[in-house]
Amino acid sequence: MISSSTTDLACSGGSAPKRKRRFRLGRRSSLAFWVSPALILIGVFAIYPVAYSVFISFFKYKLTDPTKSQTFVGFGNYLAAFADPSFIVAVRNSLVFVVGAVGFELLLGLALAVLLNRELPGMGIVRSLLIAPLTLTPLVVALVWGALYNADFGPVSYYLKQLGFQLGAGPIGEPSLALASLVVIDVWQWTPLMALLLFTGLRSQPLELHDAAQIDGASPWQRFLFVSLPLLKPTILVALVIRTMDALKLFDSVFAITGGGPGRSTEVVNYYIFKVGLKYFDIGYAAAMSNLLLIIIVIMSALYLRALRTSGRAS
Amino acid sequence: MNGIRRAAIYTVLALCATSVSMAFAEKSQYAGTNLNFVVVSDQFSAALEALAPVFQEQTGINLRVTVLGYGELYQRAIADFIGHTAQADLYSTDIVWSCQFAESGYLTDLASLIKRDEAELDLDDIPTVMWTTGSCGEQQIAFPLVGYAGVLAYNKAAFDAAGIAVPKTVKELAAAAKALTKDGKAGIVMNGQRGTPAAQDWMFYMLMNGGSILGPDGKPALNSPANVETLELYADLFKYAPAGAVSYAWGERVTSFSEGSSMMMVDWSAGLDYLRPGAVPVSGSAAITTTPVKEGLDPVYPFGGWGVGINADSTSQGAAWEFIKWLSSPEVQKQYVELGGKPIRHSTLTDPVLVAKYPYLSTILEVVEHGDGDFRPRITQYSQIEDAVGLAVNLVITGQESAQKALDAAQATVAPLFQ
Repeated sequence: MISSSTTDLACSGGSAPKRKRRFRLGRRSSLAFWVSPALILIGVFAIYPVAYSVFISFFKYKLTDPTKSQTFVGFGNYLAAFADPSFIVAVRNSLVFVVGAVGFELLLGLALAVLLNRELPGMGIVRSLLIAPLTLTPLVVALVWGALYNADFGPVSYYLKQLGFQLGAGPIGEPSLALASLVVIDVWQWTPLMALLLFTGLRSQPLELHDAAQIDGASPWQRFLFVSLPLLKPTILVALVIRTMDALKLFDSVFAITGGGPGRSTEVVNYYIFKVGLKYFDIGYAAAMSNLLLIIIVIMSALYLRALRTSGRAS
Repeated sequence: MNGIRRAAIYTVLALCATSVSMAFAEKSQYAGTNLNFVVVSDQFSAALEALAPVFQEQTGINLRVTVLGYGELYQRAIADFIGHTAQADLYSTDIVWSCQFAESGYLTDLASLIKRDEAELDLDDIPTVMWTTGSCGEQQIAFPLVGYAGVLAYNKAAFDAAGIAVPKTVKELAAAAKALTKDGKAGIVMNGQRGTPAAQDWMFYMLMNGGSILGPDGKPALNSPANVETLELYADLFKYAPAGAVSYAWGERVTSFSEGSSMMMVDWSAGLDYLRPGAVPVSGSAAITTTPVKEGLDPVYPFGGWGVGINADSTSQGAAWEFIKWLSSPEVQKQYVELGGKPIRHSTLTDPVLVAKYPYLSTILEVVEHGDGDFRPRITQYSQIEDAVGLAVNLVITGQESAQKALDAAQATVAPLFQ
């Protein structure tokens, strides 16, 4: 019997640890098989381009150079970026834009989310309509806003003048107003996204906590400040990460409306990189600046994620 | 009305096609070849799209016309050339790309083909300046496709009402701009948007005022006294332009003139829709003339345009060259003009039937005869120069810099590119 059972075991694949190992190996290879398409896609479309971008950023490499030469310059392109006043101005403009646009979107989005969370008549339609700006192509949005802003034909300029605002050369023609005008476009298009994200965050909060606070005598404002807002923090941070990354990549409205002007007032990093890379075809330098932009985005995202983890631990 | 007009044009086109077919009685030796022609989105691209089936019918060569925006065309062309992917056999090439493409060997040098077929091409009929749309030194990397004249468009009714003569000099232009700025109307309109729009428009005035981008040594001379003076003049003219002109590009500028809000502008002869009866509010009042010139200078007028080049990597060189010859033939040139293209031949510009129908052709002819195709330098560094000038112009017209300081900075930006 014993020998028979041993034989059975041998036939069924060996000892228990061996079986376990084989099962684990089988499971691993099965998982690897199913994950491999995603890994290949990420490798081809994300990792390889980034790696290649890092590689060519160490070369003086101009696509239109008749000699087609690539000269190794080490960190030369990165040092050149730090010494390039246009790049510095572009970074500053990008950061100002991010703070302005994302800040307003957060405040307005939060207010909208609170309103959406109320069961008022017609709220279902409002929620659906909020998606409309998100479905529009940013370039189309920029072109439409460009026409609206036109100092001579545009309704925005017209009504602002009627209200007594002295706009001079118009919202996009005045150096002091141009970047703020682009912020308005971004806020118009992306506040609904922020509102919908925060709305889902509000909806997922347990009602018991609100009820308990109400029983304890908390006013609606206190319930919002001390119950809703702390619970909403993870959602806010995720929304901020998404919008910050996106706002740092601002391109369409600058490309379509201002061309970086008046002067340098709306020249942002992405637009400057586009010019250097796809107009001058100075690929090495453009790659270096792209990598610096990537580093900025990673740092900002890391800060948000750290705050997210901290809030997670606290809660 | 447009439909009837279009139907009439296509009928004439079909008749012409039949008659031209007599000349091309036999199908081409390249019949069955597929050609992809990538052209910029412009008035002439619609004409090329309309002519493609006619060419196919006559030669048996399949021609596909792909229309792209300016920036998109440039980027796609460069990507195609660098990658040797031969996505297109023919490319429309901006006059300012000539030497960049020639030096890089992206396009086939047509010089030997032109010499071989010179009798057939009737070269004497093509004005000298037209060749600048694709020449660089001894190379001819593109054949003239469309010639654009820089012209002064003006509102004749406004000039008549004010009793002012059409300006012939730069001083008269400034005086007219001032006199016509009244009753909520602007005397003149220019491009002010940073980058190519401001740079290109300013270069018109630079030529009118005797300035130049490059000095006699071929190096940049952006901050020359003549250029500084031109930029001061240009900024001064903005006093008589619509308030928002500092952020205008071509579309807004032409709209302002076409709607009757502005009385003058310097413009390319690319569209000229405002000369078409009933097309825009100012139709019937609008007219064009040659650009004013600074007192004491010989008349030199801005010339630009596009060439058509054959991708050096194309495997259909013969068929592509056949298309170029066909398109530039005198018979097809007439159809081309009827469809919205601008001619490259002297005989087309002086054709009595066409001149009677399109009187502006005589102005274009005058510009072509005294045209300068190099006022925007056709060199590799052009796009960086254009960008630096575009920034300088915008900084000055928005009151952020003086003309001297802005052009000094632009000069400092581009000078290293020539070392």
